[in-house]
Amino acid sequence: MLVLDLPGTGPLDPVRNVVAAAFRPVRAVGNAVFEPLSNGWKGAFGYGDLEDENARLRGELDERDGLEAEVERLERDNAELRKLQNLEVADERTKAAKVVSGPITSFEQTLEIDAGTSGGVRRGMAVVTGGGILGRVSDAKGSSATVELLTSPSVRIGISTKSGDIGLAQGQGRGRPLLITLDRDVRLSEGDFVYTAGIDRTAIPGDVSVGKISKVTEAADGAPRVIEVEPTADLGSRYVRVVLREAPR
Amino acid sequence: MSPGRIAAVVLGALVLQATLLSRFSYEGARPDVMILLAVVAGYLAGPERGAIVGFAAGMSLDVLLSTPMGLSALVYTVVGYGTGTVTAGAVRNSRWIPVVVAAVGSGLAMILYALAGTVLGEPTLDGPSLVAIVVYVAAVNAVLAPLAVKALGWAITPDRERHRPFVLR
Repeated sequence: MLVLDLPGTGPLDPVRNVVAAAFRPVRAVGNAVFEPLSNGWKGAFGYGDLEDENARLRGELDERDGLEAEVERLERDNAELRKLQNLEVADERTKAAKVVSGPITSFEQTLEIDAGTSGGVRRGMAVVTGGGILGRVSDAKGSSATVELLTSPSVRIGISTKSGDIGLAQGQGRGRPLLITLDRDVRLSEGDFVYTAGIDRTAIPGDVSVGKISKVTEAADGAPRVIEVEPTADLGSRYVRVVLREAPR
Repeated sequence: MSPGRIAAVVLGALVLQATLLSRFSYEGARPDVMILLAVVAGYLAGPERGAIVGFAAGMSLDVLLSTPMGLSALVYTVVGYGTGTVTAGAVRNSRWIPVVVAAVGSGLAMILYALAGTVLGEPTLDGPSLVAIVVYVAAVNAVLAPLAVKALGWAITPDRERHRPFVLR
């Protein structure tokens, strides 16, 4: 059974889908009943995290003040470049969804959202929050979908730096930064933002914030260069948006 | 052993795990009441029945997880069987013994799960600290052990056994 269900095969998916669908109403009732208890627990044991988060957000707000002017300039440049290339870029359609369930055990790195194939959600689509990309849809059923978080080691996303260089971001596990691999030895500094590249054959659109570079270690004594990025998306968000863009065939 | 009662206990534990216990995360670790069923069944009823209950608990949990189907079932079956074998000659006249067995068995089971997942290419060692998972799951399951003993005692022991004087069993 394990061999049958190794990642990428999925012949047991229909069985899972049927049983999970039958169990969904029970989970929905349980979620409604136990949510207040859960909030109490988070309040009691998540206070330190909230303080850290608050400090981080204050820092980001300060940076954003300075970034606004830069963003305005980039938008103006971007608009001119698009006119030059005669490109017609439409806004991506998105579907709002609520996170209905977090991981069930310690070893899971997925979320479940209340939007599925009936709402146009498909496997591989990007899931974003106000802060940036949160992950991608790993499985979609009728009215729900499973989202694999950006921090999961099996998620790899094409990224681009502010200088336009392309690379790959890969998760290293929950609570750890993403690891960036770049094709060239590009000059980068801590605090720089990286965005989705949007050029690979996936459903992930370009120019969505991925994270901020938190550590750059230069290659030395045979050790490779290490670039770490802290995701800008709040991985604990309760509301998300699925970008309804399918991978080009 | 009554299959209907075992199914009721496993289903009840699954609902509890998916809707309530999974919310109480600490440092990323979450309780795992399904492994408690495997451990306690092994302790109460021996290796074979421990393996059966472990398989049922693991398989029902697998349906709700995004990990390969059968991973939990495999690990929980081994843990149920192992607990039954290791505790076969244990003294059972103290109410603390099942608590200790639940804590130690659950902790070891989390290590086994992480290793089995890694062998199958799952990122089970890339999430929260394994030490945090082992300690948290062991502690929660130690607290819940008396409840699991009662529930599985009801499911595993036949009625006529339960009503017979202890010396005649």
